[in-house]
Amino acid sequence: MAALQKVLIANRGEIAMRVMRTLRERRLRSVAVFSEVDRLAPHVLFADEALPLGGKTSAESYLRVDKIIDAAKRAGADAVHPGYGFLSENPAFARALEDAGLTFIGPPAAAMEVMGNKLRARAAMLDAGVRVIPGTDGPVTDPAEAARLAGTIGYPVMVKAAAGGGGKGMRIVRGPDELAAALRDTSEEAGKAFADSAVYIEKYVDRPRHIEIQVIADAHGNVVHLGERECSLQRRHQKVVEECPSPFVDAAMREAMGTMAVQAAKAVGYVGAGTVEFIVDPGRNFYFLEMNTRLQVEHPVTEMVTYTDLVELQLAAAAGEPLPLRQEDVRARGWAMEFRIYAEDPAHDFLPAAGRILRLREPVGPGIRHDSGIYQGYEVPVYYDPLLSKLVVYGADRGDVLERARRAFDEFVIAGIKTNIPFHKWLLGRPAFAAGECDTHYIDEHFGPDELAQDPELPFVALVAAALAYHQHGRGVPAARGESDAATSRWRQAARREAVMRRSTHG
Amino acid sequence: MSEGRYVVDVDGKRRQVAVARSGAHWELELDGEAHLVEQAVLERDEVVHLLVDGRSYLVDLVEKDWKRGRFVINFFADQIEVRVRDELEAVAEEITGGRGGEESFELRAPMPGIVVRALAAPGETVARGQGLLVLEAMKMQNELASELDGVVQEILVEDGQMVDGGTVLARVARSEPPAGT
Repeated sequence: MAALQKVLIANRGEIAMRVMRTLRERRLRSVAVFSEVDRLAPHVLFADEALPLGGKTSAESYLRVDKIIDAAKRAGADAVHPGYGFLSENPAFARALEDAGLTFIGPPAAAMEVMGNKLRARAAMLDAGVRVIPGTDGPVTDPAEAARLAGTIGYPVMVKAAAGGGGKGMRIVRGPDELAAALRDTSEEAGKAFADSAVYIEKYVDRPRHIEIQVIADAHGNVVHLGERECSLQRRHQKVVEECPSPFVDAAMREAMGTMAVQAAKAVGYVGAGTVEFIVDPGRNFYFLEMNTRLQVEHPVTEMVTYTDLVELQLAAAAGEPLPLRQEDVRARGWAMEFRIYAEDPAHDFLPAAGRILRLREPVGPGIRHDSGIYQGYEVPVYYDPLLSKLVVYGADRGDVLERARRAFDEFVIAGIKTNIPFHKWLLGRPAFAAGECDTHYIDEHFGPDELAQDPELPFVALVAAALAYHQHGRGVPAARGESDAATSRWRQAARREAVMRRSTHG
Repeated sequence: MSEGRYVVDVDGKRRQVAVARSGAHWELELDGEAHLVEQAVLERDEVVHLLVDGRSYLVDLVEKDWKRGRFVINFFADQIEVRVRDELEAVAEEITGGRGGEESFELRAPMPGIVVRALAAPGETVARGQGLLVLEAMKMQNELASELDGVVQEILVEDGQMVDGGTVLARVARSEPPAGT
């Protein structure tokens, strides 16, 4: 396969920016696509070339296979990077690109198809000797049969609707006496909600952790893993903080999970970057959950710790190059944590908060990487995901990272729209988080709007600023130009340029 | 410059503030306590850096309504609303029974979105905190409430309408206070 020259990114936001940065480092041309509302989005401003898709909603733009292929052809691109979300796990998209003579920067469509279907993936993993959550391999209807199977699996178990998802159509059963009712109720509910009353039983993992393994594979059958990411900090099944390594995983467990993830990837003929997700119980037993056949949102924490560029590895794999590293070459050093910055209001049930970013000051300094899809003055549209950026913090060990993260959030200003920054500040103050002890239920069980604390100096500072502004403005005093004001313009410029701002910690 | 005396409402408290020029600095008297303030303006009416008795504060004036003296001030991760009035004006408002309140309320879209439906009709009496309409943004529905006890004067948008952030969506006029208050 010929070396790539020009790559179209079928995505937007921070991930489009992220992919383009590597393209630029590799001296490849980047082509952005954009919806009607994204003309001024950062990925369009950053790209070498940009083509309109038309439409406003995702369905009218970033999800339109025909429009994206047309744009790629018009731009003369030879490959398409799907990012995450949108079309990234759509095998039909991968096939359509192939038919159009374009390289899909992702796995073969066949591998996506297997991993995209719960029952097929489970069967394939069982065949490959990958440990899956103990459960029934098909629908269960007979209560006596269900009782026998549940007894074999071991309580607690979960009764799940075959057609369910997203936390709907499932019941936890703690003992045999609860089983018959759960079976009946789940089945009835599933029939109403999904027009399919089939249910199955699997082991329920109490206080679970969500830990995943990054794999990278080439087209020549080589697969290596790059260690784990801990993704247990979730709010209503949405990840909010991820880290690498996991405070819960030791070398032996990493080795075992990594080996199993490589097995899983090999079983489906995987090529490129992928993530094998495991659910882990408090006894450190891990079970295959699913494989995400794309670059993950949280990939930067792996990059920081393993000194890799996953997008670069994806590009090489897509171009048919052999993997540049063997398993024994993989080295991990230090610690990294990613904090997802969402446009949502933690004080009001995390309501999404689109609007204009009036002020943006990004944290900088030691151990900070900010993968961002925003700029000051940018209007966050209502149509897409509320993820604005990801603050990635790295250091020698977990303690360093926590202190750096606290410092970084003290510098961080996003004004004009609500963000979850105050939530992250709360989280960084929690002893359980500092100790690395949070499971997937932690946030839902412990966070409430009353937990948010405002800076004790805020009312005083705001009063002084507002009173002074009003005093000067009301009298037509040119506030900015007061010659007797101590600031020189050079000082101001320097402050603005270098963002040398420090949060006051006294008082 | 002459001294100014103000009544400032912030964080649920009312404070008396006097502001006077003192050479290159400002003298600010807050409830009888004096503070020395040096101000550097990074961006006029937008970003100021304050040294208050030597303490360093970088402050953003995110929203400004100069006429009403209403501000939203951002200090790093926190925002707060502040209302500043001339002392005389505040006194006058007390006398006329305004209690510092507004006579009318304009509901503005806090973000761009799509109007799902109105929850109140013109002529309807609404209480402070009562929902006026539902606005959808990022696939989430948000109920927007009246900030006044009053009567809905107008609903200015239709169901399904796309609106920009800041668009006036509805107007509410204050209910007549019962006689004698």
